[in-house]
Amino acid sequence: MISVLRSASLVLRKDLLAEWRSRVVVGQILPFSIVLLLVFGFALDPDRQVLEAATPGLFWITVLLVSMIAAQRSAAIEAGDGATDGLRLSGLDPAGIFIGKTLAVVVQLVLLEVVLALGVTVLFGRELGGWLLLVTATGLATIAIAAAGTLGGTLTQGLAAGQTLLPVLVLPALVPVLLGATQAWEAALSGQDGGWGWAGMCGVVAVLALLLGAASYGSLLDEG
Amino acid sequence: MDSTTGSKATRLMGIFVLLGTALALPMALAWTGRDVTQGDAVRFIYLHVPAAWTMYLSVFAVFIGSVMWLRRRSVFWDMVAEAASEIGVVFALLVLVTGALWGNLTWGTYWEWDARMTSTAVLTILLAGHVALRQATPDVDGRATRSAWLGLALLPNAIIVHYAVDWWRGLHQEATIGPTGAEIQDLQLFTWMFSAVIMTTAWAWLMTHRFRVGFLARQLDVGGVSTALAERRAEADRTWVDQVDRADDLDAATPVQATPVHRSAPEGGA
Amino acid sequence: MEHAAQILTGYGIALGGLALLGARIVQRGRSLTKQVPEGQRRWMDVDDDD
Repeated sequence: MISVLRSASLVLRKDLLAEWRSRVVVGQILPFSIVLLLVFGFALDPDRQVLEAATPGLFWITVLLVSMIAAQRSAAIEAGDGATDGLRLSGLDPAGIFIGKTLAVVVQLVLLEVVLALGVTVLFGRELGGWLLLVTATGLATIAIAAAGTLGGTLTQGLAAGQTLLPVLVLPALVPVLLGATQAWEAALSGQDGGWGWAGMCGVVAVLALLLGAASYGSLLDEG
Repeated sequence: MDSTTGSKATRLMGIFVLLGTALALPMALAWTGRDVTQGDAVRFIYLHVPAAWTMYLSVFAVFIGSVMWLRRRSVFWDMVAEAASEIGVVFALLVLVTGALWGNLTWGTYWEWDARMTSTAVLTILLAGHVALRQATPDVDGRATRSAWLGLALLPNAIIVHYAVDWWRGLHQEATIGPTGAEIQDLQLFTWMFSAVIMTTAWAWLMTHRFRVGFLARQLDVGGVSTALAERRAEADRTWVDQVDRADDLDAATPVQATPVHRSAPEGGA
Repeated sequence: MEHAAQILTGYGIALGGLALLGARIVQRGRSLTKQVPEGQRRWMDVDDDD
């Protein structure tokens, strides 16, 4: 059996290549995320005060919503063409496949987050700062979201109601990450204490999600 | 044989629950005293806390059932997990409803973002998702495996969400539901424990019936596949016999042949 | 009793909800029992495919 790391890097490359060729993230998900920011602006406060105060929450709500789409696409890459059997028989380590897919989603989400961060600075008027904490918390939260989303995508893969079921299963499980990420951002942006603890919580969920995903991927692939 | 999922055990449990409830209601609503600060609102404690306890019991049962299916492919434990998550949803909703009504009398609003209620809300959605995932998976074994991996995540998630919200609320004013006042009276304590016993027995009654329902449904699912296979085989046999008959008819209709054609009957059968 | 309406409503919803759940499960059990052949109805009667 091919090693975990090698499997992961192969699948990462494959998924990113598939994304590059289809351009769904850049062409559709990115514009959708900007639309969300605009919609928040219209719905909440033309004077920007509410938007400025709520920037961390609105940023992370947007990330969570688009991550559901990214996770579904990640699971659909093989399922769409019936290539799941190929993946199963490929000799790749299932844990490695899971990690590779998760990392591919992480890359896509980071790309989106960079643009969104620019977006909230411009549209909501909140200046970004506390960069070390901000980047660390964002990184850990993104890994947690990607891992949980990839796992959720596998759990609901191939089911008729899979697309609607995925957010219902994954979003409640990511509540601690939402709390952690928004509190860490708030602490970073306003210079308050306590942000690192919240970033740590995101890290804990990330580790648990990665472990659960890596452990389950083999048997879920077999059932698919 | 019973024509229901009932049995001697469930009938005994059922009678105990009915009689116990008949006794507990006047205790909870009339004979026990009021709370120093909350007044009569504290009577929700005899419903809300036992419901929360049975909700956690359900989550634990889902967790164990999930582990046992993944480790040993135990159909028994998969059925336990199925029953526990469905019943768990109902008890979780009870916790939320009684908590909201109680909160309205003590806080003045139906909802406060405190750790227990918020983590219960998240758990309710996850349990409902567990039920939905099972219903959405047509394949019997796939259903068990997918929901088992989700079931593993329920318990740790409930714990993490609880602590996260607790910590989060610590930044703001802490709101709790609970009796206040110097000490809990003897009768109050007894009623509270008695209610918990009744509700746990009701849970066991529901679990037993629901387990049997799940098992029956599974027998039909699995039996359905065997029946379908048998039907397909019978159809294949009929098609073969038809073809042989048609060949016979063709031969009979054709003119005399130079050499006799030997035809042997098809070998094997069903 | 103070707030009698709210308290009784809560108790009514709780007990009523549980009774409804019980009735639904038993009813489903009755209809399924009719469809499954005898000897296969209880987990104890059938070999557990462990």
